[in-house]
Amino acid sequence: MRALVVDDSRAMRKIIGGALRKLGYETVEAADGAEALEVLKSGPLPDLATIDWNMPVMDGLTLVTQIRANRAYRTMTMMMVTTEAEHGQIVRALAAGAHEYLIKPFTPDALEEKLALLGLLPEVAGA
Amino acid sequence: MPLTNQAFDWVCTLVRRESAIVLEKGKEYLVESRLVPLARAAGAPDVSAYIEGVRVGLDRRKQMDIVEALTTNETSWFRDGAPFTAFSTAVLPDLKQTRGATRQLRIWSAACSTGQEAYSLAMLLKDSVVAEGWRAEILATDISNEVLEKGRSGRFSQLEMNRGLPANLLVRHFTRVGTQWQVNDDLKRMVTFQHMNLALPFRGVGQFDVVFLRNVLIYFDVSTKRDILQRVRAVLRPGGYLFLGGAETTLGVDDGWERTLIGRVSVHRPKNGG
Amino acid sequence: MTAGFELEELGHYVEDEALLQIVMQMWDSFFSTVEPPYPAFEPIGAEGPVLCASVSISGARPGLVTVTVPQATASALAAVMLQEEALPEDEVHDALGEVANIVAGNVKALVPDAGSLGLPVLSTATPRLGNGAAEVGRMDAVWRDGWLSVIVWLS
Ligand SMILES: C[S@@+](CC[C@H](N)C(=O)[O-])C[C@H]1O[C@@H](n2cnc3c(N)ncnc32)[C@H](O)[C@@H]1O
Repeated sequence: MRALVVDDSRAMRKIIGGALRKLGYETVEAADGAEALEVLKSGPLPDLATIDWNMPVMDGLTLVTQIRANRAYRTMTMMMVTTEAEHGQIVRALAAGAHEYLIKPFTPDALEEKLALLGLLPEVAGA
Repeated sequence: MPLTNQAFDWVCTLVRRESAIVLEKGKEYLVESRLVPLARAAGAPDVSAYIEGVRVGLDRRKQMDIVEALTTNETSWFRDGAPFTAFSTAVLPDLKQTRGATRQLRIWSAACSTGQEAYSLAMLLKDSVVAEGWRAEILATDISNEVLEKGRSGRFSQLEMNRGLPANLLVRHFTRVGTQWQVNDDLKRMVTFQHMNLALPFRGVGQFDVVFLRNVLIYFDVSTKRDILQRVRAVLRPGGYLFLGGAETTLGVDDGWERTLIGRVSVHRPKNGG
Repeated sequence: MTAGFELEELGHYVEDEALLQIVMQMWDSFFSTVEPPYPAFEPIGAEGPVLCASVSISGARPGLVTVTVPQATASALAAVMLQEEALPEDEVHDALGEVANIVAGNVKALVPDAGSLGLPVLSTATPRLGNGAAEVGRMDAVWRDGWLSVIVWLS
């Protein structure tokens, strides 16, 4: 399985990307929403995108909205991974089209459990 | 100073007598690390001295503090996913047929820890039978008063919320209070928390349609497991269901059960309809 | 209603205890392989050059969250967070910036009618918010032979 990790922090991309690779994912990265759209245009469609909210150039909520508007990306699951922690923000992200929401900080277990919910745990995981 | 053999043996005996939890040789480190906070709070010079103090003090409350400290309370929302899917997609539809006359369900989350299992079930019931006007109640029990109090408060930390709770259920059923999240009253009203030691007779709990007894039998020896499974059979209504943890089975322990596979999950039902 | 908030009331929303919880949750998540920091009354330990990551909060009561550490502590924290020794300076800055971002996001959720978060800004001294802003929450802690100091300002 393939995942696109979108976050303006390189540290966070390393943490999320590393955790996903451990679970059996191949990962690609983008540092903001606009870069993420470029990656999506040029490569095969990932199964999963983890999307940060606050980023320069194009924020995560806008990115979710744009991905949602493009039928070609319909099969990709979007999970916000962000420090935005208010009830209302989660509602907004889901309404925009995000499928799941993980609040930073999170433990590796929490990431894995969210993927299990989404049916996106590669078979190798846990083996 | 490492734990003395005597202190370790006394704790093992105490914990086994009070909770049936088996602490094997080699768990010295676990015992020590779990008891450090209690020893510190009591102002004891080290864990062995603390244990010796409790041993000669004969104070039952202090003994139970040690037992509680040695329970493992790890849990999460919709733990392992599949059992809860099986509950919603197969068990509930069946119970809707067989319990149609009374339109009531009683569910037991035995060894509930901080309540995530009970509230997960409440969310599923709320969207199905409760929405259709049925009564559904969940009894959540544990041996540890500390976890019960937390479950009863219905407040969970951000890190706990992140663990297995689908975002759409979070926004529907929880309200943020400071750094924590509070479960809403309608779910809270469905769950009753009560102290209960599974190793002792189940007094006054009544009958259940479904029992979740997950990730607790692993701490007991075979005869305790058998005894508990037999007594669970006695409180399960005919046609009821038992869910165990992923590493637990009735097989070779208590043969009064029939196992059915729902997807990849085994559910257990009393033989001959109970 | 918001306009009537006194700073003291805002302080009530960002209690030091809440700040401590936020920092400890961060620890349990990204630094769980090492010993936790323990709270102190004031920054103590290593002196010398510091690094500060700050993140602004917009909204009815604009604010700022700062995370300040000695430079050596910043490098050590980044090494733990990324499980990688001897990281280049820009990666250390990025890691501390993300720590500040996470603390600020969780603090923002405590503040009524808050708007959005800014992006992390790195500096070599802890900035102060002027113009009627006040320090409403603070957490100082000792970690190894360094320290960390988290301050929340609201106006
Ligand atoms: C690992 S948790 C399981 C929680 C939940 N059922 C789940 O699957 O996530 C085990 C719980 O069993 C409780 N426990 C241990 N011995 C017990 C006993 N003798 N009677 C009742 N509860 C017990 C512990 O206090 C702990 O909360």
